[in-house]
Amino acid sequence: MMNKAIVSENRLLDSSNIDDNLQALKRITTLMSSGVDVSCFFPFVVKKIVSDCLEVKRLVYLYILRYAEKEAELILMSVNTFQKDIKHTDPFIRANALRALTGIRLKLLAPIMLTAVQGSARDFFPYVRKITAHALLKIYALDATLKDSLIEILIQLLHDRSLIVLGGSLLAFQNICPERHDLLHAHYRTIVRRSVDFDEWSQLIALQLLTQYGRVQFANPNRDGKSFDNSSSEGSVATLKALDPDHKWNMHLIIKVLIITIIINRLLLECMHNLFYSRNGAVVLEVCKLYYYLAPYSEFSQIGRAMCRFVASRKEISYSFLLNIETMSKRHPEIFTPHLQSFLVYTSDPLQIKLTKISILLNLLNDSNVSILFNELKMYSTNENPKLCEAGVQGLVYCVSLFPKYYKLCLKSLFRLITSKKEYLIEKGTVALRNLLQTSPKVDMRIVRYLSRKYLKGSIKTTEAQLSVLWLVGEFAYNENWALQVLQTAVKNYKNLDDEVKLQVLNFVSKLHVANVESSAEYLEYIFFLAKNDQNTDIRERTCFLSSLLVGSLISAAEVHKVLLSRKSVCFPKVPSSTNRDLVLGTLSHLLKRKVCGYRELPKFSPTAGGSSLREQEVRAVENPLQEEKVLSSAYLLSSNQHELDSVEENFYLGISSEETRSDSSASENSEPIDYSSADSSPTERES
Amino acid sequence: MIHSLFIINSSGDVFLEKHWRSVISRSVCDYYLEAQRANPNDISPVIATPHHYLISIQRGGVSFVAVCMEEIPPLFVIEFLHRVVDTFQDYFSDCTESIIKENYVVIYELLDEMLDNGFPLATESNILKELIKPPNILRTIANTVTGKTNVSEVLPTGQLSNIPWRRTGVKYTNNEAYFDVIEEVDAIIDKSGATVFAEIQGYIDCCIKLSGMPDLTLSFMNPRLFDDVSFHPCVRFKRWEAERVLSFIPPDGNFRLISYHISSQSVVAIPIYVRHNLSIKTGEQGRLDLTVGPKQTLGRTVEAVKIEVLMPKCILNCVLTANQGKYNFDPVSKILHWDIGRIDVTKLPNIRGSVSIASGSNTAEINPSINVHFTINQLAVSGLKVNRLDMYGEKYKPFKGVKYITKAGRFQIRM
Repeated sequence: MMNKAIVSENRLLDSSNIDDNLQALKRITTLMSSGVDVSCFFPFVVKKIVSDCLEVKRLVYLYILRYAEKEAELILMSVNTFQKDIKHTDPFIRANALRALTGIRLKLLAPIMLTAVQGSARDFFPYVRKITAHALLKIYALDATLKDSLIEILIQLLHDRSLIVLGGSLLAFQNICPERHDLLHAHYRTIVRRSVDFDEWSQLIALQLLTQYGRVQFANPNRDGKSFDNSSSEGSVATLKALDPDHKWNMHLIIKVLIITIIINRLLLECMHNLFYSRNGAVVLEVCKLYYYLAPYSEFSQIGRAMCRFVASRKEISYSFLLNIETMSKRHPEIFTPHLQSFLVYTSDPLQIKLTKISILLNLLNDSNVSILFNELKMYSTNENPKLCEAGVQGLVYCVSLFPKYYKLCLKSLFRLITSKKEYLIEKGTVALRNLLQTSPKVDMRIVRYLSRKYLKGSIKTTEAQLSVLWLVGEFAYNENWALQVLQTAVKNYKNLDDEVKLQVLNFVSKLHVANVESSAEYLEYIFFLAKNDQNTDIRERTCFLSSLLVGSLISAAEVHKVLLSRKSVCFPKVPSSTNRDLVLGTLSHLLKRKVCGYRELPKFSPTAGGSSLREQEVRAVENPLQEEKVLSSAYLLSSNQHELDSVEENFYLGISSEETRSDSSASENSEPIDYSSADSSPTERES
Repeated sequence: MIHSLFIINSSGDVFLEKHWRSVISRSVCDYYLEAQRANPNDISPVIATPHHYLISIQRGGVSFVAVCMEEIPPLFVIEFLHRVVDTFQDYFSDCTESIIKENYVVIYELLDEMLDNGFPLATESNILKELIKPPNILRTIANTVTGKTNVSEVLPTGQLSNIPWRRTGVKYTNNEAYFDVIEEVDAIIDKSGATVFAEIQGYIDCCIKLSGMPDLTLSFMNPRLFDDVSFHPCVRFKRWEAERVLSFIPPDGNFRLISYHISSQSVVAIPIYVRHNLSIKTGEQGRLDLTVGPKQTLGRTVEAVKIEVLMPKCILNCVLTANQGKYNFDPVSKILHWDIGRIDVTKLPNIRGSVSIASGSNTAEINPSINVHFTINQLAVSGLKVNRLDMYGEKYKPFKGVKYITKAGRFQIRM
């Protein structure tokens, strides 16, 4: 059957009629995309690469890319055709041929690809050059030894005027040599200023690069916990001086460095601000990241608004945003507190989103919203889903640990949980009660008594809950009469208990023994006897320890009491976190909480924003010392300016030139701020 | 970068695969299928397997699973996958399993055009449509007669200009521009009827069929209303920041111009209320009584009202009578659907009757919730109004239309 089909397809492919060829190729493509192995057609399909019909060519390319690795020898025969197509007069065919050729994953072909790319980097059409940029990283992935020659081509492409080429070359840059910031200096302004006009995916790459670049090249705007915008110039100068006391800091130089850092940073933030408007969540998250890592704290409020917009988006997008918000809100809750209500839980949310929302809510907890949140958490704690219920209960206890006045209310709602009949509610309630009682200064014995009664009735079944009850009774009610009854029940069921509970029973019986030697002696002996022969090593060890402590002890009774019954230190419950704070936001690693292959750390801010070629270029702009003060003030004017960048730069420019005209005409020679604004500022079509 | 894409149907069959780099065996999808089997409604968007990372979305009963091998922003992949589905919907008017199967070749070509070596190449539907023509019956016939193909022979113009979202040489006999202002009310209402949280998610969807290169300016009566906006790339941010007008050269066809968010800073009108009473005694019977009525609708009628009550697990069945519409109760998912339709103010829709409860279940702590759906035509609940639309750059006079709709987004009432 299959053979017959092959024969008929091959006949169609051999035919000189393009329609027949197409028909066969389409059938093969259909089979291929549904996952059938159609490599048997390879020799026949490859022949068709010489076809003049573009659609035939494209389908052949698709086919070749899928099976090239298997049929290396046959591919080599078609290389000539590729090379001919790359020099075709039609740019579209050139681009497609280049894409296909460089997509073949055969190391053997890498030198041929390199030659092809060298030629097409000078192509007249931007689209072809963009494909060339993409091709660079494909070749790099094949053969990393060609890195140097690839970088050469990349430098050439980075100089390109066309935005689509620049976008492609940034992608290549990020994959081939992300550490070579020196290559970016010359293009930094163009990238920053025209990022708005990139396509969304290139914006994403540009933002990632700029965040990395900004960390290395700029000073920390939040040094000493104060932002540059707000601090006085003297303060910042002092900081700079303090950083490098040996160096003879020229006052002028300091001011220059300072201004420049501010201006560059400002330029970046002003331009990127526009991208908050993007419809693409990935871009918005990337801008938020850039602000979070590079902007002064005073500008953080914008992050909150933009991010909350996506919380109501599709569930996968919402989930990614929530995870990042969770991490951000831990350190900077003030960003999100105004948007608290975006994080209220809907019944229709998937479980993961619900849990993340709750932990964000807990991060945002403060004086003014605690009453709302407490009621919300109470709602969640009675939910039918055990996990959500647990999160709610833990949240309640956490609430109390911050705001002790909610102790009574919390107690009440937990009490309602343990009176219900559902096992998981009882379990979560009991565990939370234990936490709560432990944190409270005076233990309410009635609750312990109530729990123990419930235990005696056998309505506390789950391990966690049993552990909690035994611990509570042992810790706080060891000298009450009814504690013995609890012990009785525990001993009765001892054989059927879980290992964890057994350990707790051992502790429990010892505690009672300390308080009441006579009445508990029998139980102690019995349990120690059983435990000594337990299969579990931990239990045997514990028995050994406790029996040497209690029976035939060398230390005094008071000390034994101290060992077993001293008040335990209180550990406040923490907000359960689903992400890792230290990993860079928005990355796969951050989401998965572990470092993924290819993960890059965010560099630390350099203590003095390094003296790069970019900087020198900038320093020339404010060469004249006479002007510095004026420039400084205009720089501050800039930093407070929230308008569009162009107007900012005009202001800056005006600030200098007005100074020029008023003070000294000789100054005009040196002060060439043109350098600053010379980087291609021609309005794009969108802004015209 | 995205290595491969697998498209999987709801029963767990992988029915399309595309590899942008070396081939990855489809057995990698087993991890996803396992998660799908465990809980089809709650699949984690990112699944880590020993060597690969699966990033997935579900839309229209079809799952799109992208396979990555190294660090990548997960949101990038998710956004891209959604864009892929949007493109398919744009091409074939829907994106279901059968449609994908019918158009294997076009889909395969599209995917190849959208990603190059795992990174997006062309995702604007205007460009794609020039590269690969959407199938339609007329063209299929014409192609067979004339011997032409579906694939463009020339480089699309959008790729070369600074307006990548619009193709050149657009020509229409009737020039029209339609704007749909759609607002969705998201709200949580508590037991007593007080609003815990309400906000509006709005968007303006356009259908623009204008010849040439029109330059449009859309202005609003009350643009200060917006809390937060996101735009289609065609909108000029500068004009928006300075004058609060939307100035843009539109793409050809359907697209979303702007989405906005009006949150709790301004008061959001709640157009509907539900009076509910579910009394459950410890016995085996309980009573349910629901009444729905309009609240703040500015004189418009509330239409297409649907109510979904998520009942607690202990409820076995409901025997109810409704004075309007139909109801059904699904005893497996415990959801009571009540399809009401229009609300007549003179006779408010009501449903009442008895519910039977599993014996021995605890009824102290149950909190069912109600999801409400409704539509109000000719009203934007935020009060947003389009002021005027001006066109520059072309001489003809277009036909313009604006439509307002308010819908329930995630509108939830806690009982």
